[in-house]
Amino acid sequence: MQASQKVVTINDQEQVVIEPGVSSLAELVSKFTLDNNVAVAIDSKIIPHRLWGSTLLFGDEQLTIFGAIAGG
Amino acid sequence: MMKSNDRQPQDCFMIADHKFGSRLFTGTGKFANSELMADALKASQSEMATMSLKRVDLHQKSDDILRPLMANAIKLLPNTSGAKNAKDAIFAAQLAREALATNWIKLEIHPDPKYLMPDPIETLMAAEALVNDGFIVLPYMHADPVLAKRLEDVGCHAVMPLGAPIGSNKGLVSQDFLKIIIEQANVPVIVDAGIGAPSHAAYAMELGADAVLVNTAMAVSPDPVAMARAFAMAVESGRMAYLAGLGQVNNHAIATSPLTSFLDGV
Repeated sequence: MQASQKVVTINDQEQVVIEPGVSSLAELVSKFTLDNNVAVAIDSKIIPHRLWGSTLLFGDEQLTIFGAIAGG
Repeated sequence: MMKSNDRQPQDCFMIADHKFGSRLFTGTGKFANSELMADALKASQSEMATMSLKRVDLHQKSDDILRPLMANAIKLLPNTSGAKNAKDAIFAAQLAREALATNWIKLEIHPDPKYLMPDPIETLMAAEALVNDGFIVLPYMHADPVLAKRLEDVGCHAVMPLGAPIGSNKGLVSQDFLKIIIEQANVPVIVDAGIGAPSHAAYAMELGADAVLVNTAMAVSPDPVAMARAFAMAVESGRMAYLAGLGQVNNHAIATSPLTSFLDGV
C-alpha cells in the first residue's frame, strides 16, 4: 500500500483501498457480503440501507458490518 | 385471575398488533447446525424465534440462520444480547432494526457473564428510550413484580421474567414472584430462561403465563426435534389446564370417597 492511498478498515479485519469521494458504502459492502440482512456502521454511526449508495467514503473510516447469528 | 384476552377463538393472543396462535417461542442458539434448528422450530410450531447480532467475520462463512426462519414464516425477534448497559442495548436494537427490518426487540442487558442476571436499572432506562423510538419492546427481566409494572408503565408490549438463570435448566425457581407478575400484568407475560423440561413449560402455562420462551432445553437435547414436539404438547397442555381451572391446593386431605361408617359393627 502506498503512503498516499486512502483506506477503510472493516471489522478490524480488513483494510481496503478506496478512491476518496468516489467509492460508495454500497460498493464496498457488496465486496464482502451479498447478504441484505446486515447493518453497517461508520465510526459507530449506523448508516440506513437507503443511504448506502449515496454515502461516499474518503478514507480512514472504521466500518463495521453486523449480521444475524443464532441466539436465545 | 383470567385476563381479558384469555378466551379468544382458537385461544390466540396478541403482542402489540401481532396475533400468535402458538404460545411457545423459541431461541435459535446452541443447535448443532441451522438445519437441525429449522427442523426443531418447525416441530415446535413456534411462530416467533429469537436471534442475535454480531460483527460479521469476513474470513469465515457462518450458517445462514435467517433463510429457514423466513421460509417457515417465523417472526424474527432479535435480542440485544451482549449489551452491558442501556447505551449498548439501544445501539444493538437500532442495528437489528436496520439489518432485519423489524422494530421488535427482545431487550436483554446482563453485565455479569457468570449468572447473566439482567440489570434492572439499565433495562428500564433502555426500555423507555426504545419505546419512545418506536420499538416493540419485550424486556428480559428478573421475576420482580415491581419492575414488571414499571416496564409496563413505560410502554413495553410484554414482559419476559426469568424462571431461573439462562441455560440453567432449573425450572421455575422464581415461581412465587412469577405468580404475582402474572396476576398484576396488563401485558402478556412470557416466562423466559431456565425452562429445562416440558414439565416446567407446562407449569408456567398452568400458572397463567401467556407464553414461554425455550432454547437450551431443545437445542442441547440429543433429539431436538422430538424435544421440540414435547414442548409444544406441554405448552398446549398447561394452557388447557389453566383455562379449565386447577383445583385448590390444601394442606389437609379432602376425601374423594364417602367416609360413612358403613363397616362399623360388621
